[in-house]
Amino acid sequence: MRRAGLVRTAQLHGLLPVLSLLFVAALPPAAVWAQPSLSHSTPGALAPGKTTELVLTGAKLDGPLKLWNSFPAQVELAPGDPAQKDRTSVAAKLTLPAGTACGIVGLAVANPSGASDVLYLMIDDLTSVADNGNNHSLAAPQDIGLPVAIDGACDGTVFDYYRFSAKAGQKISCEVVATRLGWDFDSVVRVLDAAGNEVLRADDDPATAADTRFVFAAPADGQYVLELRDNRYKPGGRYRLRLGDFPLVSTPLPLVATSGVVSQLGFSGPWTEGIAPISVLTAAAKSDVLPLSVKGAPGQSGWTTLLATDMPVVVESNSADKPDDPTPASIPGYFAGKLDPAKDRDEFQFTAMKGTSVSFKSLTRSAGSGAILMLRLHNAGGNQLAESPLTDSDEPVLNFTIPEDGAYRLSVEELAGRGGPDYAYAVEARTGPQFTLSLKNDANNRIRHSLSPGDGTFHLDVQCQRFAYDGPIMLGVESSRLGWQVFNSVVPAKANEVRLYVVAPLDFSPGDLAELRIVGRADESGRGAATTMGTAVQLRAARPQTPFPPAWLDGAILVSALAEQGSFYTVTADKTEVNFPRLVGETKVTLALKRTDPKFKDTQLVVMPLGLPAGITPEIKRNGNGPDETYDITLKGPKDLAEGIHTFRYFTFAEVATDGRSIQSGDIRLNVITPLAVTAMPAGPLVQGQKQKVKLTLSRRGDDKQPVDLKFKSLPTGVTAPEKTTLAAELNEIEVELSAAADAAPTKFDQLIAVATSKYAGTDLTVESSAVALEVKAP
Amino acid sequence: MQPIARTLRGIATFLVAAVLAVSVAPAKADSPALEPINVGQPTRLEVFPPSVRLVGPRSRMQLVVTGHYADGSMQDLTRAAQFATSNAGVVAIENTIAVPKQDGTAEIVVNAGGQETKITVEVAGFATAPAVSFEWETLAALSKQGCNSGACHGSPSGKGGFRLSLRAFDSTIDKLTLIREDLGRRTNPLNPDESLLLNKPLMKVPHGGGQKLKKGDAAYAVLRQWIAEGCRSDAGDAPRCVKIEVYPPSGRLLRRPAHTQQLCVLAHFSNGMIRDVTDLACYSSSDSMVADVTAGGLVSSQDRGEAAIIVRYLEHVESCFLTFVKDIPGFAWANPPTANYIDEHVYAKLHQLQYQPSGLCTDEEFLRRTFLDVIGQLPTVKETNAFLANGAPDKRPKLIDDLLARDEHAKFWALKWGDLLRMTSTQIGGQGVHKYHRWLERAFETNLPYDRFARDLLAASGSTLDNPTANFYRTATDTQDCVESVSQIFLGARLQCAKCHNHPFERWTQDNYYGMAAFFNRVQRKKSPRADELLIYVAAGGEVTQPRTGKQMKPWLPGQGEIDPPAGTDRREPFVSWLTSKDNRLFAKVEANRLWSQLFGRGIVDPPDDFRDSNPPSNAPLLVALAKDFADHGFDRKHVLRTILNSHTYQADFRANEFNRDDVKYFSHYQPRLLAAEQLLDAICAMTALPEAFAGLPAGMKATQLPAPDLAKHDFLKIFGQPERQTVCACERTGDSNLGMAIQFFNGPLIYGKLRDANNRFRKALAAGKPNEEIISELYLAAVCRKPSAKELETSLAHIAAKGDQVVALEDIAWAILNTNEFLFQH
Repeated sequence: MRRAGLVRTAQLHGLLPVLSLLFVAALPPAAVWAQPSLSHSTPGALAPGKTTELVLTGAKLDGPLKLWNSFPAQVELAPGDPAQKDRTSVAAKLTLPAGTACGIVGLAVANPSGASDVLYLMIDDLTSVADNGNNHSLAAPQDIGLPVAIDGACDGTVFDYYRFSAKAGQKISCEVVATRLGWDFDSVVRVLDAAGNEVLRADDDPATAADTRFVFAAPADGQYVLELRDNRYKPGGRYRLRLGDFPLVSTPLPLVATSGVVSQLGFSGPWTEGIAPISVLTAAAKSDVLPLSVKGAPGQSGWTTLLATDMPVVVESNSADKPDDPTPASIPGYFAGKLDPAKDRDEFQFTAMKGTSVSFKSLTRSAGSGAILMLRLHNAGGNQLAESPLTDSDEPVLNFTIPEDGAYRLSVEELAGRGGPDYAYAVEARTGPQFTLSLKNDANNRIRHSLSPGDGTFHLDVQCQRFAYDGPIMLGVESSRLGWQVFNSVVPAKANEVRLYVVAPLDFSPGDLAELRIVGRADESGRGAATTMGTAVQLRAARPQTPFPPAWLDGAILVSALAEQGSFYTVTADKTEVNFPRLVGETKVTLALKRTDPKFKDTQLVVMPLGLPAGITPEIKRNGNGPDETYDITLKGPKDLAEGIHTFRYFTFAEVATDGRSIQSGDIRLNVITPLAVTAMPAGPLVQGQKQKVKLTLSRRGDDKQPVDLKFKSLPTGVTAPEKTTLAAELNEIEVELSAAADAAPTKFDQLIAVATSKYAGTDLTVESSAVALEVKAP
Repeated sequence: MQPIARTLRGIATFLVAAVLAVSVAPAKADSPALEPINVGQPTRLEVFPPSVRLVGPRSRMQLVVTGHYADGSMQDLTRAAQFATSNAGVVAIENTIAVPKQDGTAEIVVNAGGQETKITVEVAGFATAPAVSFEWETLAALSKQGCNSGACHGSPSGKGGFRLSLRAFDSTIDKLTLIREDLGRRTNPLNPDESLLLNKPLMKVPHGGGQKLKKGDAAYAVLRQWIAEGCRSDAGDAPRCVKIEVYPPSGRLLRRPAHTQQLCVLAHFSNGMIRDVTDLACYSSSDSMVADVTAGGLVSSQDRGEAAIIVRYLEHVESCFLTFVKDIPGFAWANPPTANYIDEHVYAKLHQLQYQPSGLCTDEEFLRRTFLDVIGQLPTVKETNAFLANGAPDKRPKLIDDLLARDEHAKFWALKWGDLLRMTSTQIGGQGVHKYHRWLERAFETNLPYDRFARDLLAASGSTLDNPTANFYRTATDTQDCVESVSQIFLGARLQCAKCHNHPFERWTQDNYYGMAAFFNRVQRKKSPRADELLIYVAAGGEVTQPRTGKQMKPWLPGQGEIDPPAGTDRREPFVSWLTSKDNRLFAKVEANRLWSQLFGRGIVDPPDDFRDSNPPSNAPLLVALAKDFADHGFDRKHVLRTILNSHTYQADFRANEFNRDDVKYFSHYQPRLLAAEQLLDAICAMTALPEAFAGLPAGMKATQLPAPDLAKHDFLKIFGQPERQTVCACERTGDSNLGMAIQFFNGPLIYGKLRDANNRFRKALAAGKPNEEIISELYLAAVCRKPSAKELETSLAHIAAKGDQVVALEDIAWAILNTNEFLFQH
């Protein structure tokens, strides 16, 4: 899924990628800063339609900071002393448009030494207050008025206590937002009455996992104390505790809406009473995930997300779930519903043609549902044909090729038989070739990069998972920042992985921070539907406590520009023009590597020729290691390659720690040449018993001139010539004398062919002249 | 005050006694020297069987003669009776066994104590001897001699290149070994006496297992004959043994001088044939301190008490439960008052066995005992003073109610179940272990009925974090683990043996094991992107195959057999419904016994997770009554605890009297036991008023409240037997004495640190200016819930005076109190 696109409805607000790059001060010369980091913000949320004065707290917030935000906002970063070191906070004013939907957004800062990780924070219409830090006992709780959202810190074995008043029967919604904000805080909440007796205890939630949610109904008028702690007593966690009478919404129903079509949305979750269905009309691009505020009567918001699609959405219509009454559906499209109660099973019926490749992909936990689906495909006779394989993923995919024309049923169940208001789902049903892209899960692949301007380069190992598609996949960069260059950008046919190199824009300035995504297309024109590379695995690895990171961050590669520093190597080619001897089929260019930084040693250079003519393939060979290190680029091709003039370039890449640098050469001319040709021309007829000269002329091209042995392929009967004549390397012509015996038969011989044998670039070379006529006649 | 060394000797003594009590003694090969039977004057004789039919020349019948007396008692008169046959040509009596001589009928006349009775005998088929049965004679003979036991050729790899199936559970393997393998040396039909199968156990040829056979043994005759007949296997339609019957049935009570009982074992076959297999059956006693049994099935008592004689023939197991009593000189039943049905059952047994129960413990002992048992903690000095000052007659029941209602009760009993449920962060994960533990605490806090408790665990699905009970299937990592864990925790049965072969001593078969597995094999586990989370779900299909037979197994329930759950349903449901049914008394018995065991340190069945015929309850009616009460009260564990705690049996003095000194299993007096590791640490902290801090856990959390041992590793706890929680066996928590324990109390860092800490109880008391008498008194109250005796106080004060350094002297006194049995033991 891509991050949010443009949305226009009364309650929806789309998120456009916005880069707010504001210099705090001019870049001082030769400044050295450390990479900044962010730990939290105060408050932990921004208010829609208002200006929020935000204090960003972290470390090394020095130098000319720039700020990146994932959401539309006016940003004003407070100026600071550019010479100050080790700043731990920076102030900013962020103004959000009215109507901005509640949800989780992100900020990052960068300076010429690098960028921070993305800090999650909320857009929230609840008033924020801070944990006062002195609320660690039941006897001394922090008094709060409702509604409110508290930005707090977990003190491990010491608990936080908040006291509030409630009337008998008053319902209070409570929501901890912590792991969804990236904090490692596994909340446990108790509500105690004034005497300290436990009235309610809550822990995990089916949909929000470690983030506790519940509705507390006060049993009597009075004061209550909410106790909050980490399940593991782990220190260092943070949380945003929302309390009020806002709806507790897990998902919309359905989870998906078709762009350009008015859709009716209901809501599902622990507290959705009294929330009327709404109509939405979105113009968002397919796969955009839209934040959605769900307001309760008093005006405070619950929040969720909605997926936009270009396909029709069908919602289960068979509430009784009779197996013989499936919901009619068509593919491609989305099948949506809710598994409620437990052990519920929904069925969708569609028709498909023989040989159609169908792919069903479930959407649940990443959209806020607690469900893990089991998908089963049945034919019209009720026989099960396939079921979704069990993997570590919580959103399984079922791929299948339809065996014959007919009706089919997709049954949707919760894997563990769970059900309830938190178990909504959608299933994306597609036909035809499919592929998905993901970033390889290993230490070599990162989603945050800092590059030197000019030659700064990073690489990504892009993996694809294919279904019914074996062709090449063209990769490219999608970014609001222009100027990125990519190299090695095609996943070859039938291959599942390629290492893509991305070079920073030429005008990337120190401190710049940009977001890009890698998109793949199946058609070579690059105009086909794009699939964005996912980075969920890397996001989970970075914050294991947040198994489903915000959709807008999945696939985002953040790149910042470092202060300029010289590269740590240079490369020079031994020639700018090279001949490709077509009769030999091979030539070579040698690159000399010069290591200019002691830190760059031993590591092999990546060398990649670019733009070679069709039919020519390169081989790279490393020679030596160190000051005399060279790389041979051997180009090989067919011996009958047509003569012509081409150009190619080479690309080199090397990395020291995380500092990747590339060099792209200028054009190297590649001449496809014939290195040796010979012609034969008799001076006149050959008379019986006499001699006659034949002129042999060589045509040599290329830079490797060698002696040439010449002879005739055959001669008329009674005619003789020297067995072999050698022409020195610097000569191109010679006359060879033929002798006719007295009794040589008169003839008009038309197959006089000279054969020239030599070497080129160490390879034996034999060429023949065209056949010419030689008359043997009587005196 | 006694030093730790003596304490540890005490611990060792207890352990030795425990080991002896639970071991199963095999049958003795030879008859022991028996006391003569005092026949007396029976009012009638009863002979078993009442009529005899002998078919074939190798048939036999062990006769059992019972004398009935005017007072309703009975005794076995088999070896005292005279037998006479009406036709010696048809049947003869050889050592109380009827043996055929030729076809015909006859009468056997039995005389004893002036009484006479007759039984009829019919002999048939004498001239047409059937071939020796491979299965029910040859294999039975090998089992009888122990050839196929686990320590000999029945081990998985056999011995000396000769492998038999364990106790003949797999006749196919035995056929291959005995009939098809290594022909010519092992058995020699042409010259049977040259067969290794005979000569090795006879030790005519060197045999690693020593002499296992004598020519006079019944097994020798069977094996020799089988070899002589050409080592034939049985025909396909040969009759198979379907059950065995043991006479006398369980329940016979023998009062000295009656002290022996001859058994008779009859095998029932699929064709209706009944044969006496007394000489080929194997015997063992559940308690050899009470009764021994010979290879011929003659039981003789060693002492008063009860013992189960386990009889095994092929894969069939039956038991005969016998009670032996004797008059103890000077014993007169004191007829103590009872508090409830528990006392009635316990006292009935004690009365029968002539043990006199001890009186009630003191208030001080009751207070300390009940606090430690119910909440795992010592009472505070304030609580002790309040209780001792309270003169209300109902202060004991009230204390019990108060303690059962306290949070610490839930926390302490969660510790006990945490052991069984293998709660560790290693196995459950750092997040999950806290949630699982909290569920457990909550279960005790809310007094979750035990049937619901079991159902919540066994039928759990979903996220192990959102639904913590699903962690049961996280720790039970596969189907076999499920079978073994469920059976041991909830059925008190250790089924591990039956995984590979029929249980060697019990009724559990390999088919039973895999039949049980069919309930659990569809339980699957799936990882999740959320760290620490596992999803437990039930797959739509999947069957269990018995590895030996290759048969696909249907779900099987003890006592009900195979069942057919509807397709598409969770097979665990019928299992849990059966398990938790009020009709399934075993379910209630196991937990009631566990509760009992946790209060007394010993189960009515002991070990508490080892219910089997060969390990009978020490008071079966008591266990039945407890289980019924438990089930009738909705599986309310607090109700059972309250009932036990209020009984005089629980409140009995730990001091033995002259009529119960040697009792260790009938609860005539309270058996002191070493505090559990966590209790001991908490007790030290309470006595010194210095709580222990566990890194990463909240201040105030006690050792008895730790969610898992690996969350707060503590050397002291490890040394004193805190379990690693690697198994579901209660035996993993050990109190085995070791040098480390002694060192801990002599000069260990924990004790040393607590005694030297400036904020400990006596140093603060000193700083507050309290007099020595008061400080010493407070130390005693804190440690052992009583004030020091006059002598103890005098000795302590004298030590302070002699030492010259008040603080150091008080350190010594506190150290000495910590080292007393009274402190270290629950008593």
